[in-house]
Amino acid sequence: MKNIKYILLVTNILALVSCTKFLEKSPQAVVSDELFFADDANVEKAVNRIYGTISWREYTIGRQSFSTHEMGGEDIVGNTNNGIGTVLNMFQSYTYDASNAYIQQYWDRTYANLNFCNQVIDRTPAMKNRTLAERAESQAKFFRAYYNFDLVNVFGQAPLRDHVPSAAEYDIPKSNEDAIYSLIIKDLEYAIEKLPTRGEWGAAGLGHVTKGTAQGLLAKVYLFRQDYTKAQQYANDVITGGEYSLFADYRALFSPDNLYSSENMMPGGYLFTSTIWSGRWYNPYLQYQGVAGEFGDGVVYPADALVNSYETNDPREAATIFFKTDKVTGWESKNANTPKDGSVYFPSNTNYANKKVIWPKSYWNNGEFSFQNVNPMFMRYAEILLIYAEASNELGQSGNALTTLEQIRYRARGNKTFADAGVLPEIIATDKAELREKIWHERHIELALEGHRWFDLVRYNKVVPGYTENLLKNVYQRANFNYNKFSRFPIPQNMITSSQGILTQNDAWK
Amino acid sequence: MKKTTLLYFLNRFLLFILFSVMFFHTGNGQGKTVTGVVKDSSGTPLPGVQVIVKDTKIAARTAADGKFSIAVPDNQHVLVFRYIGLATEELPATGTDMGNVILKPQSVGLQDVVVVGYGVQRKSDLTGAVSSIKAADITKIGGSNAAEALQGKAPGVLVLNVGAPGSAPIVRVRGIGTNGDPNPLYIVDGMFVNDIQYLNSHDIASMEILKDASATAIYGSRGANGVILVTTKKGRSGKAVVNVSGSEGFQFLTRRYDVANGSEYARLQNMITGTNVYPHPDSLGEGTNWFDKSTQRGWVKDYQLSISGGSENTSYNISGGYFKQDGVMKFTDYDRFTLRANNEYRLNKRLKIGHNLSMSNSNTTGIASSSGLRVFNALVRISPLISVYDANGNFNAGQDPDIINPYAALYYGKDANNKSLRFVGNGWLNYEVIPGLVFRSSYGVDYSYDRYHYFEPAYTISSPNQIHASNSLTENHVNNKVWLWENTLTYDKQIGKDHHLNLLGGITAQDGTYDKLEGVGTGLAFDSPDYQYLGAVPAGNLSVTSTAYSESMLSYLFRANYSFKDRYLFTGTFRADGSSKFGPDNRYGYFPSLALGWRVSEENFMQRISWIDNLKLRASWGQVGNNKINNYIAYSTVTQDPVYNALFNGVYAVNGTVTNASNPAIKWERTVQTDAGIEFGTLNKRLNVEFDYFNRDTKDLLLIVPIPGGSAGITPTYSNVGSIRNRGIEFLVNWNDHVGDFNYGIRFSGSTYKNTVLNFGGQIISSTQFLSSSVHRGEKGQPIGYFYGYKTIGIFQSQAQISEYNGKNSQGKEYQANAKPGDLIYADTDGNGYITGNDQTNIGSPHPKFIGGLTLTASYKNFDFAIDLMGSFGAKIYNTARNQITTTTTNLHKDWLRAWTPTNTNTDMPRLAANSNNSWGSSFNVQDGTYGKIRNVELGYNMQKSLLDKVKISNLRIYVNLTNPLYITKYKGFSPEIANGNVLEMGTDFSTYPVSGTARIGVNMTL
Repeated sequence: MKNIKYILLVTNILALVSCTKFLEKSPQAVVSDELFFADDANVEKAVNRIYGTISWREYTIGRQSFSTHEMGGEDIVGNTNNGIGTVLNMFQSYTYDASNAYIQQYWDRTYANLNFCNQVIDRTPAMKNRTLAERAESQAKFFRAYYNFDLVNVFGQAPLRDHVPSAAEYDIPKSNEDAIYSLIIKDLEYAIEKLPTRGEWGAAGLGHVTKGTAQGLLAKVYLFRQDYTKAQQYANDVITGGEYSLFADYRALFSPDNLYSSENMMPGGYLFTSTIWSGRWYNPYLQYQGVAGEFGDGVVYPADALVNSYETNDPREAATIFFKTDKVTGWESKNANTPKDGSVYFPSNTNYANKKVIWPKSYWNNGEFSFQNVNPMFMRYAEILLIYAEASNELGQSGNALTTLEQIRYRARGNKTFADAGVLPEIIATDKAELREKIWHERHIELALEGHRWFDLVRYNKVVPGYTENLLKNVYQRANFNYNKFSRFPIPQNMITSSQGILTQNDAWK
Repeated sequence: MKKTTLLYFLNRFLLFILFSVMFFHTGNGQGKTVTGVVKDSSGTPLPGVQVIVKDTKIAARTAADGKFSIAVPDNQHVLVFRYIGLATEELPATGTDMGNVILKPQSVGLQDVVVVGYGVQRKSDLTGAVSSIKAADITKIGGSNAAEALQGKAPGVLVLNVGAPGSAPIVRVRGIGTNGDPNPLYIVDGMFVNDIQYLNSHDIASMEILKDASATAIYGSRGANGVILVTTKKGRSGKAVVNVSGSEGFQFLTRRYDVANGSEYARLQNMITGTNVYPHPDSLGEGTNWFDKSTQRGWVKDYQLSISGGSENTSYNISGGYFKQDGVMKFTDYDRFTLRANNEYRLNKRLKIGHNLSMSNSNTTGIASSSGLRVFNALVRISPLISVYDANGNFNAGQDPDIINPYAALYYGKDANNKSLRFVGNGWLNYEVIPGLVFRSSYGVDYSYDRYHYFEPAYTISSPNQIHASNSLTENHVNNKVWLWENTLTYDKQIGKDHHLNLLGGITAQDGTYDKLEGVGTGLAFDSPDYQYLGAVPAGNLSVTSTAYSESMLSYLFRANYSFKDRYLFTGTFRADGSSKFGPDNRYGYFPSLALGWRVSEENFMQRISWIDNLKLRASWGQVGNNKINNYIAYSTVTQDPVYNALFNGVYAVNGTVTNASNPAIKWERTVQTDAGIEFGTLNKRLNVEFDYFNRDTKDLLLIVPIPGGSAGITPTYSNVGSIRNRGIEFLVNWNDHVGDFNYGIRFSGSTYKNTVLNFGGQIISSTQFLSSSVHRGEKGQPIGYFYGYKTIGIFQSQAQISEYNGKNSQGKEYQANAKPGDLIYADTDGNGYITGNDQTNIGSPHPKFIGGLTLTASYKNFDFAIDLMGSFGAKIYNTARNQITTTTTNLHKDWLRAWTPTNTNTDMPRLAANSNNSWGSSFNVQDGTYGKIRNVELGYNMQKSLLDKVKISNLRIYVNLTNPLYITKYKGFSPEIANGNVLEMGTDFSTYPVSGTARIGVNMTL
């Protein structure tokens, strides 16, 4: 029986030792947010994550963006011989519904981006280093405004996220447009106050959003709110700020060589690198474009309606539309019967491709079309001029509008007057309504295929009631279109379902 | 007085005979001496088999070489052969040499001992639901993983084979109780392991599947998905037995997917484009047969050498094995070398020590599973008019960026190699403190080191899916170390005549650490194999990441078995588990169980009913848990993914932020299971029936549910919401008999389960699969992972019919947008008169309604034969390839040759068009996955003993074996066994490696 004592002793010791620390395991190889953000400097990394989204990932500039920013308009069509293109076309025939996956993807990514902003904004008040804190907070607030502005244009009403929610705050109802706009404006006012200028960021900081970017976005926000005084005021701030200017060459503006041009107020951040994420090196923005069968997937193509919208011999047409007769320097067609002189074999369902993303083969990293360092510009100076022109016209200052408009057309002519170039006559209309149409046309052409058209069309119907309805139904014969319903996208059905009554569908989509 | 003296002497005499027989192996009585060799059905001689002259006390045991010799009195003619785990045989003692006596494996007989958690129990005393599979059935399958042997054999266990070489099958015990990791717990000789791929099947003595809570609750927090106990072979006292066995054969693709050949593809192209793209389809002939190009007959070989034996105080079993398997897909293979030493030493009367040590070194080569998805998808979609190589010997691109060249993908995967070195072993000590009280301590380690090495050269076949911009080298090093220390006390006591008590108590502690180092380098200067090391990667081109975690567990366990009069049985267990994975306030979980058994046949009133040999009723209730979630769920952590680095002035800048939610309140998931069973034996125990009903409710499910409303912008994490019910029955019917020399057995097993999600916290969990239109859902009231989509109700035959449907709503809407004659008609399930996303509904469940297995065994003289059949009924399969027409150029199944056209309207195939409404996820793509198959068939022959004696071989058996040679099914695909590990991908086909058949011949020799 002696032995039992020993056994009991051993087991007791084991039990005692075990109870104390045995089950405590702190995270390894991952860092807790507490530890990470204890160092003020790391908040910059959280800011960088916000920029990471505009770098290159698909859900920012792929299907979810085309569906919500372009397809409703007349500028592009989906390739009917492509699964994604076919679904995208549902946004043009207005046959999509709330269960559409692309709307869901847009929703998910936008709220994820808002979370990245709020992760920063929630932490900056407690930071000791105020310089770091304000710089981080102003960038995060700019982006929060940027995504909220996008969100309000897509859905109208949507849940408002102004901080990182606790679990109890996960399921919240929609806020109305005014509440969302009020946060957007507040955020941008802060950003304008605190953001460094382009010059202050310096060369190493190129790619950051600036005071000017924030002023430009606020100008746009007020334009969309039809507050033309403020729209003009903030656009004017950008113009007089002198940090940005029109780039000399419209075609070269889109070149991979000129990512940080003086006109680019919010550059994308895709740069080919073979070391990140092997196998997914390609630029999805490009992969969706190109010419199917030759290079890129050709998911979307420019539409006839866009091509037919150009004024005679507008040089921007040749810079924007890649025609069948165009050639890609260095390219050898995959089609046996196509000359190997840079000619491109077109599939039967298109005559055009987006030339803004097609550059000579020497720009194709590793010889691949979709590896080009081509980025969309999320905001550029030309748009600020157009906002200024439009606001001025609405305020009855047609003179201001016309001089600004002429800057755009002057550059479009290759920095020539109409007299020298012989194309794009100077606009002289002073009638508000007539000039408005001219400005809208200029905006359409100048910013074509850059993700502006659909939001503009929705806005125009508010400025000129019936304008968009008429354009789409009568001019473009889209019988299904109904402004009241399709001017806003439905909240994804899965979100309505999962919310269990708290989040409700937009009225027009019920 | 005289009478008693006589009796006394008679008794002595009989005892003398008994001793003579037992210890001197000589018969000395009247009559004759009968000799022979006893073997199991694989031909291995069995030492220690009890041989009894029926109705006498004359008995003998076989020696190490299986030989026996027994004196048989003149008036007796029947010998009884008994051996634990094998069927008892009664054979007429004709002549003096009976030759080979084969003892067949038996589903567990009444007197057999069954391994249960932390001990063994007589089958007759069991109160829980336990299935048992013995050695001979395990090696018959010949696969790389012993769990494959459970298919169709163990009622209540669903096994799906996985085709890739060296892959573990999917094993589900009694349905699916979680959408997380539903794999059962494996325990090998007391060691908790995550899988048994490292085990050599030939080393296994038995596998026990613990199913109900009474059996599993002793494993507490890890028993919720069932427990599979694996016991490896130990040595037996006696002369050394050397066993050599080997088999070779090949694997083959059992079924194919019937895609269009060259000219048929051309015809399909003409149909889909509506133009004569190919004016003369017939002239194009067969074209490239991509299946032929990409598949092969994969050679398999399996060799073993084992030596076992022992003396009075020691026993040993040392074995080595080599297994090699080439896949049916080219450039895929697997091999494994195993070594094992299971020894036992008795140091004195009370103290025994021993060890079970095993080492395995395996090597898996070929396509990574991620690229594998595209390979199998492309295999059925690539144009037969494209050849593998172009005129210059370069790989041709598929006809669409989405369709890769599958052969090229296999080829470029040939250098993806995973080497796994694993040591699992424990040392133990058994000390009998006082009679009946045993202290056992066991310390084990599971150490594995995996090295993944993949060199991928630079190539450009097609962008973006088959292009590798610069060569790359990936090297992963994974170390996984676990130790487990278990200390138990068992007390076994017979109190008086009627009471039997067995108590178990113990404390166990387990600690594991995992770390992984991954390096990816690009732009190596040379493709040479000698240069494929990370050190050769140019500076700046190397990215290194690492992950690590450690986890621990502390448990207290207790069990009481009590039986009264051998009739009334009671088992109670309790385990308390603490796990480091949970929040500080919720670390401990408590798992009790209770079970009752009543051996009705032992009751006095039953003695008159002579035709009932055995009747037992049993019932159990208990709770078990599941802790299979990632570590550190309770902590909010920062994600730093280089993919999302920012770009400033052309330079990437690192990022880090919080992307995932955390849950400090995370706690145990628990499964409450009730079970009722009946065991019944009749016709002289030739017929045995076992039947079980179970209800298994999983509660506080560890589940990742979507964040309601989805506007938090954060990735959800695990929380304890929801519950799932699995309810079903299972049965086993066994018949064993002989007609003269002809022995035969029939074993029929079957099981059902009905899976229902009771609640997922009001949420719907939805999952889509890459390259497939299938949608799986987990939703209240539905089986988990059911297919969600549109229900088809026919084909629009005319524009008039479409107009008629358009009249079904008053808003003037088209019933089905863009519908054309020849399109599938979808059902308007919400009744609003037109089709929207809301009309999607349950279009089928991937869960089988019934799984059955039938085994027939027979032996006649030197021949033995066994066939296993199995069937799965009622499961639905989502056939992705049937309707994946995302590009006009895709190749398709031959069925599409009868697609609807205005002139061919009497057909079940809709109009052929790319990206039409017909491509939606619908019931058109859901097919019946019912199948019956020959699981295994084996014919063996035992060489004549007289011949063998001359070459000093005690036994030699040769056999031929076919595994999975034939499926009978209407399903059109490689195989109706769709093994997707993820519960929410269950039953979606065309992304998995096809299941293959195997043909082998083998020999088994004992010296």
